Amino acid sequence: MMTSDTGALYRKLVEDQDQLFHPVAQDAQWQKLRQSAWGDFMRLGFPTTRHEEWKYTNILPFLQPPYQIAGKNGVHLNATSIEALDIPGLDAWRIVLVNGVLHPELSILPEAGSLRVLPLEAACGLPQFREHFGRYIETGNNHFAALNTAMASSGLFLEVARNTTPSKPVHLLHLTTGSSPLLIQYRNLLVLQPRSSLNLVEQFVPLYLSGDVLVNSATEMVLLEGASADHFRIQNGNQHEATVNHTQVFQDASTLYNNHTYCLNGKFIRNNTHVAIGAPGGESHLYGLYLTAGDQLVDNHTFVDHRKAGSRSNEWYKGVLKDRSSGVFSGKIFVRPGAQKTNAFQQNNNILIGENATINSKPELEIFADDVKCSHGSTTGQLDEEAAFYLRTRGIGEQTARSMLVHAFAYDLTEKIRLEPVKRYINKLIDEKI
Amino acid sequence: MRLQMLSIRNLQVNIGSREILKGVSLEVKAGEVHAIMGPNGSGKSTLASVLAGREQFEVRSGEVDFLGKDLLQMAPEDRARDGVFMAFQYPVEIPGVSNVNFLKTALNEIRVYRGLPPVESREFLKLVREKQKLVDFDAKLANRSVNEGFSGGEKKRNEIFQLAMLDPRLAILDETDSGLDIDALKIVAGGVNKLKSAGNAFVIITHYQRLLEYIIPDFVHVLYDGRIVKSGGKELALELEEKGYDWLKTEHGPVPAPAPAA
Repeated sequence: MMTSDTGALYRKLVEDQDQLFHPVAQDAQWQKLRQSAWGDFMRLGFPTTRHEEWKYTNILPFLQPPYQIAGKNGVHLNATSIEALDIPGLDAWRIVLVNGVLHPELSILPEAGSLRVLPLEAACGLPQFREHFGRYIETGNNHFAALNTAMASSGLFLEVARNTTPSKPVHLLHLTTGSSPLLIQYRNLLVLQPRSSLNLVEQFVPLYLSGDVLVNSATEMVLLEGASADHFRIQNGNQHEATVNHTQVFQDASTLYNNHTYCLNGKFIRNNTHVAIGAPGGESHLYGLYLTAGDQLVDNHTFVDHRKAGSRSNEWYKGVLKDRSSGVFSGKIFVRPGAQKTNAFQQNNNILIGENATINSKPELEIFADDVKCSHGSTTGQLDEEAAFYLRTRGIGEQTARSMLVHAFAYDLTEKIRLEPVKRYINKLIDEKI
Repeated sequence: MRLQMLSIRNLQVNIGSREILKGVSLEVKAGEVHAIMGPNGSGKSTLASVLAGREQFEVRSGEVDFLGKDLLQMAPEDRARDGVFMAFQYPVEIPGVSNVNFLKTALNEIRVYRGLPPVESREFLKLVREKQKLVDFDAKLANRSVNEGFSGGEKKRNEIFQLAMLDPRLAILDETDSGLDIDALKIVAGGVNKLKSAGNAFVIITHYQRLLEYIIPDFVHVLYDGRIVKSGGKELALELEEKGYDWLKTEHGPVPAPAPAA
């Protein structure tokens, strides 16, 4: 058995496994999945830089704190502190998860109708849970997703009913809180029934967080035939927060999935964003922006899997990195045999500010069909000093000039945001970050 | 008596080890239009760049006084806020920054520097419309990203539009006429003529006399090999047009070839 021992956390998880496995839901199918994923994790361990997918990201420092496993209770937050997190001008259903646990008393949930929102464990009897849960994430080669599948027992189940659009966008707040080191794992399942659509704004925010946390979250999102989603992820953690987020999207025929990922704060963010277009006529757009400073490490791995003929994907990630921060972009487009007439485009552009920031950019195409249109590209450069000078000669201060240029660089991405309040909000966050 | 606006004394400037300006002196008063002419490589654009605050030049000696302030000690933005404007020879394209937002930011930073409140949106838009009309600048261009996809002529007209919006005390036009056809040249010149007043001054840097048919200078200076070798009235421009620049070589010697890179 190949076990890579990457520190105390692994040993702790192995020692405590019986306790951790204590089934939250007495569900044979789920338990079987957990057992199998645990086997995968035991075999995989935590990744090291010897693994190709983790070559530029050393997670050892983030495994060191003496984490306790986050429990389901003991967290009390008042509604006022939650209201402050609302996005100005966005009238939305609010779903609040605190350390991965749904808190209905802090949420503004819709009445029965288009949207169904449940704690994950309460959904496990539903046929749609049984049909979709654990079906899309591969645990055999994803270290953290395996661990998540084995252990996470809380999270969110969300379903949009067939032929409907919720009356308001969904604002999904993932709050992390605590004063001592915590390992937080949660799992979400989102099912968009045929011809439904959803605007989902996911926001990751620390609240009264003063202890180190490692968040290992996983989300499966299924778009059934003709469904569409605009999915925003705003990651705005703090210096205590290390996050590994695995998102697996599965698209059925004639679906449209738009993902907008904004990585702003947090000492470590790793996103595995996997999109499988499993039927003809699926279309995906993945837009990402990472702004890093200080010692931040932000790693975006994307994997777009064109499984069937006639699907399209368009991916554009941009980064601005300063101080001693580093970024990783690894984007793979995979076109399977028979996925003819695939149209896939990928672009990664980076700006390094200062001499100590780094970016590792790795665009990849793997194509096993012969009638496709695919392209990728990657650029890394400096802020345009001539443009900065031009702005300054018109009376604009140096800081403002740089901020304007970073906004201009990000503009291609923010202009894609159709929800105006979200666009304004993200522009403000970008401003604050610069 | 006219207000002393700009006073350049014995300005010597290098790029790396190469001497570009070898002692330039120039006095500009409010209400005046000065033309600086000369062949390529004589240092005209360097002079404009140093006055605007471009950083890759090394000022070896000399002084530049602008309305009582030591211009060379000021950041480019502070020069602009105090009233210096340079129209670029090659205006920069800035995709993603709208012309109008750019100008509003600039105008407000200048106003804040001068202790004025930021301009109201309505007032600003009124100003935009008024100045667009004044310099015949297409309203559609004002709403696009700064210079992005503009033709050469449109870029130069945008410089004049910005000049009109920011209303500087001293405007330096760095080869604004280059690459312009005759119609665009007339529009640019017409804009400048409408903007000049007893309270501001223009320094027009140009290779050709052409622009000076439309903007009549009070003074013409010939810059050659890093020095002003001749100054005169507007008739000097005509003389240069007739004679070309070759006579300078016989009178002042050829411009030395650039020093080889170290």
